[in-house]
Amino acid sequence: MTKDQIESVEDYLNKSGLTYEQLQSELLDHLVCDIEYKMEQGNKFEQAWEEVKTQVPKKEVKNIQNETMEVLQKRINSTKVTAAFSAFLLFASTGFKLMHWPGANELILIALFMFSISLVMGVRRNYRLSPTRKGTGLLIVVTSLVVVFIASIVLKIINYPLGTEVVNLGSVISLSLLLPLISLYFYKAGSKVQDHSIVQIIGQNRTYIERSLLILIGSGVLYKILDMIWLEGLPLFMMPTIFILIIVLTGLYQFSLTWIEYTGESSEEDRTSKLYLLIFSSMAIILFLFPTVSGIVSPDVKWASVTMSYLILSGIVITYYLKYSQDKQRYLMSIVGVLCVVFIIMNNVLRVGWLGTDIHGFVLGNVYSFSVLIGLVFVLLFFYKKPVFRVYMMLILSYYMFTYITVY
Amino acid sequence: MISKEFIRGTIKTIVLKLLSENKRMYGYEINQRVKEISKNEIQLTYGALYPVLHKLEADGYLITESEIVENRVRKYYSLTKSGNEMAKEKISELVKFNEVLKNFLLPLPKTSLEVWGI
Repeated sequence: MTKDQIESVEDYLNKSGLTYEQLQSELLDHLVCDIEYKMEQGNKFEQAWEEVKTQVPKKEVKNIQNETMEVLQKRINSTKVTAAFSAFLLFASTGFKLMHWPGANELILIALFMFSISLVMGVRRNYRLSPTRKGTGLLIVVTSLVVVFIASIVLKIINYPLGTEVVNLGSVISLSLLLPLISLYFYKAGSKVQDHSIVQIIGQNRTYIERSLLILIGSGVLYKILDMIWLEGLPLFMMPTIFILIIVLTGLYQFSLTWIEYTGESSEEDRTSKLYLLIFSSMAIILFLFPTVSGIVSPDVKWASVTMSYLILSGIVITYYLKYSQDKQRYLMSIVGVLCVVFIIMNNVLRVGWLGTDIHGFVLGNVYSFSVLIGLVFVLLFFYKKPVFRVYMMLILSYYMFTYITVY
Repeated sequence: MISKEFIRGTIKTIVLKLLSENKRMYGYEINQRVKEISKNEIQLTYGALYPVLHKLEADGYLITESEIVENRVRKYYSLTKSGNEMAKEKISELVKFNEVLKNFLLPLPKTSLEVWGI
């Protein structure tokens, strides 16, 4: 076969979304062998290639890659062990708190430390497995910023006096600037940077990231329930900061999903809708991160900022289901989305106290709190198979926790 | 043709067996050998082999070497030392399973009373 002919086969593989280089060369060799075999039997190249192509539609190529990545990632590795250990510590600390044993707070600190390590290990491991290793610098910058951000929260928890505010302010400002800029970059570059290592790593590890977030959210929910049932009156020293961590990590993850969106194949019409996504999600992430700066603005401004960001995010999700999604349950999900908006607004109205102190007390009381929690968990489980809505509900659940930060 | 269900459970052993008999092989070659030996009874779907090969490699049972052949890269697989041991183990397991399976498939022997016609 000529070089050109081989290149056309390679092009086909590239276009089917095959990015894992190791597999790419192998499948190319396989396909070419098959074509050559058919050509030896007297077929012309074009004919032979068409025949082989029917056996491997583009979807199948992507399937092979997914299966390969899956078996490679299924293996137990040090990243998973570290992550599992940090999750264990997180839940163990709940147990400690419940038994009134000392050391619950220290356990959470160690858990967060292990969590950061597993994050770095995971990124490194995936980067090594990743075929193109494109965008190394950006990957390192983003990972370190997230780690610094977690560290600043840890520093806050232990009330470390020196430089905590600076680290906190620095990481928040850099994230607020950098994240929208990265979005802009991915939006501009479009499908050309489909194989960028950040996009690849997030795309291929969605299950694991979401599982970790769910564990974090689960621990938050558990604390909240324990607080309502057993620990009445006992202050949970670090829970507000843990809640902030959960909220921000979930938010960052949801934001990073838009990058995958920008780098997907798109038509002219898609580009316009993606531009709106870029504008609104950037606004949301800035409003979202802004309140994590400690001590600069008043609690009311923080509340307003976070609430706005959740309203914008809800708007994005609802618009997606009404306008773009083909899902059979899209209207149902839109309605739930609207209910979430009502929930967010209600919380604010009640918090400001416009409806009188009785209702204010009721909202902060256990009955309302518990029902809302159960409701949100139920909705999350009910729509668990819908990727967009699942992440949105995870976010709303973390918003639920936000409601209680200022209460303590 | 043998159903996918059975192939899925045995493909790893089949690959190890083939590699234990050949110094090194590449993907397409393994595919063709499987077809040939099974007289077309085992037909792997396109590329079904690669996830298995990559897993074995990641587990340290296989090593690879790449060579340029006619304008393209060809990746050869061969067994490592632990791969060789794994091959032996898996093959003997499959042989045993085969024996056990045979017993299941034989018609059940009649109980003594039935033999006596009661």
